[in-house]
Amino acid sequence: MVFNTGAALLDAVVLAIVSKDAEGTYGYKITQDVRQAIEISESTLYPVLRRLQKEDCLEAYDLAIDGRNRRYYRITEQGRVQLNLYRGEWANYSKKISRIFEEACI
Amino acid sequence: MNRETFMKELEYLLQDISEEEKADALSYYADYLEEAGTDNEEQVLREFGSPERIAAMIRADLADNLKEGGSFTERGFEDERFRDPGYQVVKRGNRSQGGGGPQTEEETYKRNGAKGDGSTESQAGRDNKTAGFWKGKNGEKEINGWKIAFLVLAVLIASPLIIALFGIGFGLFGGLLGLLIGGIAVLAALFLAAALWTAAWIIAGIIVIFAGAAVAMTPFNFLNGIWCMGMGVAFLGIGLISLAVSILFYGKLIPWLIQGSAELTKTLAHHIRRIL
Repeated sequence: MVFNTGAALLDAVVLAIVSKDAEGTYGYKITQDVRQAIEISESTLYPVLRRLQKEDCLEAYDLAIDGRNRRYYRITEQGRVQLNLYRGEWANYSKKISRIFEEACI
Repeated sequence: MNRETFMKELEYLLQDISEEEKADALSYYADYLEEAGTDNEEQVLREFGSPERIAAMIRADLADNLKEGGSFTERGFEDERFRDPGYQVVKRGNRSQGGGGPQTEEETYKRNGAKGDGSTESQAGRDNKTAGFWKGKNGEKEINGWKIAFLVLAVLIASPLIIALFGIGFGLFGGLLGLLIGGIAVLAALFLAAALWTAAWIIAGIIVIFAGAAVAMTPFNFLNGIWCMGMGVAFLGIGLISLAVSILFYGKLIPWLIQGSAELTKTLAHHIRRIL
């Protein structure tokens, strides 16, 4: 990708993806979903998820599936507040950038 | 590298972090590989890179959590919200290299960079993010290269000066040597002159005495001859006095000079050794 993804944008995207499932989702799936939009390495998300967990935006819990525990991540109330903030900021930011590009003469 | 080796190495590399953190990280990566399935295992592991890289990332993240909210980076103050995660990870990974093998980590990054344009698209993305960092790294190396180039250039430019300095050094040395040789020559001349002076007076005295005697033999010149002989005796006396002075001169001055120069050489050698 030409444009770098800032930590905040990655946080926002992860929060948005996790928020889609009420019962939460797991690391591999989050990574694959993020990769639909942003080119991240398979290994990138662990520190991000860990940080969001520490910031109480996500909570982790283990769910037994197929006879083994799978770590699930779920968005918290604080995470939703944060996500909402990010969404507003992004809408504002992307609108401005888009307008500049639309006004450009090529 | 297969999954077992990867997990084992990762566990080994994370033994210095807390048990809880280690278990969490290990379960995440084990889980991830499990979800990816055995078919994708190889590709996922390749994208993970070396266990060293993963361990560095985890450890670096923990270190950053310790200094909460610290947004001071090598580039000065940075807005937390616009920090590049890729940059962050690599930068931190680099910082924690002290613990893990730095060589392997660096190599891993380079290897990843090399295959970034290959099959794994996302790798390219990560490498894009890290590119800035590596540019910085390479920049430093370039600066080092420039430094060396500058040094070489400086030496080249300064070489005439160095040669000139050497020239001055040799000149001074030559001058001193010349002075020494000149001094020795003057002394030798003095010795020779003294010897000649003495010999001349003695020979002249003897000749004049004989000449006076011969003159005295001739008629009506007896008084003249005697006077001449007297002159000869006086010359001989001057010669003998000169001889005595010369003997004193040679006997005292030469040993003194030899001793003096020997001592001078010794002191000089001592000083030179001390300077060196």
